[in-house]
Amino acid sequence: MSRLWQCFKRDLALNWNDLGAALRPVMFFALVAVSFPLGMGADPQLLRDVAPGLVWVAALLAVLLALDGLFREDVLDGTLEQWLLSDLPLSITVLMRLGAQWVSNVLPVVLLAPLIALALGISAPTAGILWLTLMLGTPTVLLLGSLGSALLAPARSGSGLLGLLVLPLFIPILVFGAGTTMAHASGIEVSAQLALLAAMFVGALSLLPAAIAAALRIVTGG
Amino acid sequence: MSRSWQWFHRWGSSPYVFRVGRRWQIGLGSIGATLLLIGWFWGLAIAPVDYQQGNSYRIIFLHVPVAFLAQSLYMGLAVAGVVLLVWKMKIADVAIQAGLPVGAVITFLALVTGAIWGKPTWGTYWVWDARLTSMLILLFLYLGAMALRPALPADVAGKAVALLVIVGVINIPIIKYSVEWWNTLHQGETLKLTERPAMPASMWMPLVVSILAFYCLAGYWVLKRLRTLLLVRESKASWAREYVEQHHGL
Repeated sequence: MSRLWQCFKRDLALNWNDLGAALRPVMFFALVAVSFPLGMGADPQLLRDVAPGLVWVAALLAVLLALDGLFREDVLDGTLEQWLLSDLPLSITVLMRLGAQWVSNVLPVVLLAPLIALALGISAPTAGILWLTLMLGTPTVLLLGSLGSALLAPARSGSGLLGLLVLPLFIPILVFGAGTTMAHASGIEVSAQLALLAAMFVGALSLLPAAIAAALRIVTGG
Repeated sequence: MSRSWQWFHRWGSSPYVFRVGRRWQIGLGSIGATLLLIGWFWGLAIAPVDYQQGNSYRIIFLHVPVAFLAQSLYMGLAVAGVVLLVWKMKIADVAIQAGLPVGAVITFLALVTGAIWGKPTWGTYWVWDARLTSMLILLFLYLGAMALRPALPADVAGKAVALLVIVGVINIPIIKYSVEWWNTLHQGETLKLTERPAMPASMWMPLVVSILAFYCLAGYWVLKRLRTLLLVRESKASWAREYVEQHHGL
């Protein structure tokens, strides 16, 4: 347990050391979200209607940025080989890495999202629901996407390809995340949809670490 | 070693697959072409006109077979992926590489024929409906799996593609369900295995023939690509050189 905690702390410290890189997704998220009103005009009704989907799409793109090169360094500097040699299960080590990545790269996005939503004219309770869907949905998205980063770990130019590989897999989360928020905005009870998002998270949490570990083993030829 | 295992291990030998594949290729190709001629002549010339849609419904004899095939091919490739990852059978890797572009083209065809059919029926080429959208996503799954191979070192690419295809197949029902929940306008399933179709027999029988024809022709196409890929991959092996010398005089 303490070794796992050390893995987690190491990844956090690495991210903290390169704070600029860790905050890149949230800055990107803010810029994408700001581009929409500039591109579509500032009609409050229009912005209020599209805001849930807009925030969710921007968040997905930001997560994609956080996923880029997630395991590339580990392949190059030998960390991955140490993970493979270690008696800790690879899937658990990977989970620690993803946890650290979520806390340092994605959590800022999730925290900023309600503010952006309020700026786009969403009511405060709906912004709270949006925040909740992001809290439940972005870890699933990160898990799904890191399968792509694991497969692309030895690839030299992966960033353009990563989107093509993993964005189709994100669609259920996008549909339910944005859909739940929109349903709440029109006064529908959403606890069932939130439960579904939570179920997807639990399912991803239990199945995907093994798949990601398998992907890392494949690409290292192990 | 028992006989059944001998059967299994033969499929690990490229010259054997190349040789047997030729026979299957010829068989599937000729059966498929014959069935297609029958099915389309029956469907396009003999089957009655639809009382609502007129003659425009006849695109069904192209659209429904390719739409079926687009999904079945992906399932088949996922099975090949499991075979590759579990039994390390190299031929499964070649099969995936051979099948992916075929599946992508078929999916594209299903989308295009659907759009052409949609114009007279719904009055628009494209609607953001559940089945259309999940078909579009299927196309992107195919394209993503195709794009992965050239980005990776050759020795690991096959297994990586197989894993991606398998994860995609687990995701397909979830994607389909979520998109259905999101929006739906498309009519229900055309054919169900468990129920009698609502169409008259004079319409659905040529449809079944066309579907069978397309499955055979897709098998022909995949086998043709698979055998060519085998020749390319094993271009240094003696059996491949002999074949090329004999048949192409190179």
